[in-house]
Order: sequence, then structure tokens, then C-alpha cells
Amino acid sequence: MVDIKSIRSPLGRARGLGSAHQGSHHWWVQRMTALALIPLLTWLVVSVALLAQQPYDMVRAWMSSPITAVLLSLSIFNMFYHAWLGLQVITEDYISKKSSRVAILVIVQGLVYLLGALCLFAILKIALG
Amino acid sequence: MSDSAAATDAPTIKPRPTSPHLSIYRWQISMSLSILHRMTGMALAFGLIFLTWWVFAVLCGPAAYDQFLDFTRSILGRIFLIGWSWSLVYHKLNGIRHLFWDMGKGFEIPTMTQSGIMVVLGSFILTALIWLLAFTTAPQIMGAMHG
Repeated sequence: MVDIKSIRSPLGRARGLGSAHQGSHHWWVQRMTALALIPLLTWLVVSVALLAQQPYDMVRAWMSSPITAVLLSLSIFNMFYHAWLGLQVITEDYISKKSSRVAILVIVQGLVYLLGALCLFAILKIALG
Repeated sequence: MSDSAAATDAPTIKPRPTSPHLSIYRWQISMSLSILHRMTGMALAFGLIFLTWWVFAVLCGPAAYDQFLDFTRSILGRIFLIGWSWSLVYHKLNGIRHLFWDMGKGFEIPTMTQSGIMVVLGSFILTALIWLLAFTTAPQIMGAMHG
């Protein structure tokens, strides 16, 4: 007997990718980066507030410590990834003209890669001397 | 039969019904908080440019860092920083609310309204605390922390 509860092909169901052909990956990564950012950004915001009145040397010393370098890199990675996914969803929801939509998606991706790479490079250079 | 004849013979078609748009809904807190989540998200994404500047200013040295600090102490810089700090706290608290929904919890309307009000109040309180912390931390306290 053919299973008539679903009109999807067995192969389609096994792949589980849905109409967007991406499955739940985008959704899942958005949640995972959000979850990671809860503790990371609590740490970052408190640290930055404490550093606000500090002289340059203190800020640099803080940023070059191994713990800071790792946590800051993780924060940066998750922030840029999460921002990218969010901007993607917003663009897809509100920009209906396909050429504009694709153009914005490409620009957003390019900026995320560029700024993210700049941040990570700066942190590594500070930490590794 | 020509095209023009067909056009004049055709009965006037009433506009098809479309789904109701925003304007017909009674305002409720959830709709404002939902759009605020996206707006703060976009503001925070824009703030990443500023974050990149901060990290690079520290890399480039005291002069560049002073330039960065000058901006943060300008009126525009203050407006941006207050806006971003509030956006961050709001987006985070409301994001936690979203994560609970993803687990299927907190969908009852009274609960949703309550959690929404808590998010808004919490965002203002926590933002105020962050700024209080920033302005009351004297340099020597951090000095002691780092030995």
C-alpha cells in the first residue's frame, strides 16, 4: 500500500529539505548562535562597561589576554553569523523584487565576511603580538 | 471576435478579496515587540561596523584609540551607544522569549503579554545598569583586578 498521508515523494521526505531546499539548517544555526551569544554578550557588555573609563594600556592588556582573545573571537564569529542570518531573513521577507533581493543578499554577505575577517585579524594580531 | 469586443462584453470583475492587512488589527503588544525585534536586530548588525572600528582602534595604538573615544563621547556617539546598548539588551531578552517559544512554551496569550511587558521593563533597567557600571567604575578598581 502507498502511504497517502503525505503527498511528498519518499525521497523528498527522506532528504527533509522542504520547499526552500535547505531544510531547517538556517533556522537551527540562527538558534544555536543566539544561544551562544547569551553568555558571550553578557561577558562582553560587562567587560566593555568596566573598560569604558580605563586608559589605553589597560584596554590593550585586557584584549591581548588569552581568555579575552578566545571569548572575543567566539563572540565576533557568532555575532556576525547571527547578524548575517537575520539580515538574510529580513531581506527575503521584505524585498520582493528578485534582482534587488539577490543584490542585497550578496552585499550583506560580502560585508559580513569583510568586517568579520577584519575583526578576527585584529584580535589575533593583538593577542599574538 | 476581436479583442476589443471581448473587452467590452466582459462583465465588470469585482476586485478579488485580499487578506486583511495590518491596519485592520487591534493593536496588541506582541506586534510591536515583534517588529522591534527585527529593528533592533538591524541596528545591532549596523553596530558591527562600530565594533570593528573599536577592535582596530585598539590594534592601531593610543592615537587611534583616542579618536575612537572622542567619537563615543560626542553627542552622536552617545546616541548611537545608548541606542545600541538598549537594542542589545532588548534583542537578547526578547530573543530568550523566542527561544522559549521554540520549545513550545509561553504561547498562552496572558503569558505572552506578561513576558512582553517584562522584556520591555527589563531592557530599560538593564541598560541603565550597564551605563551606571560604565560611569561608576573608577580606573583603580580595574587596576586592582589586573594586579
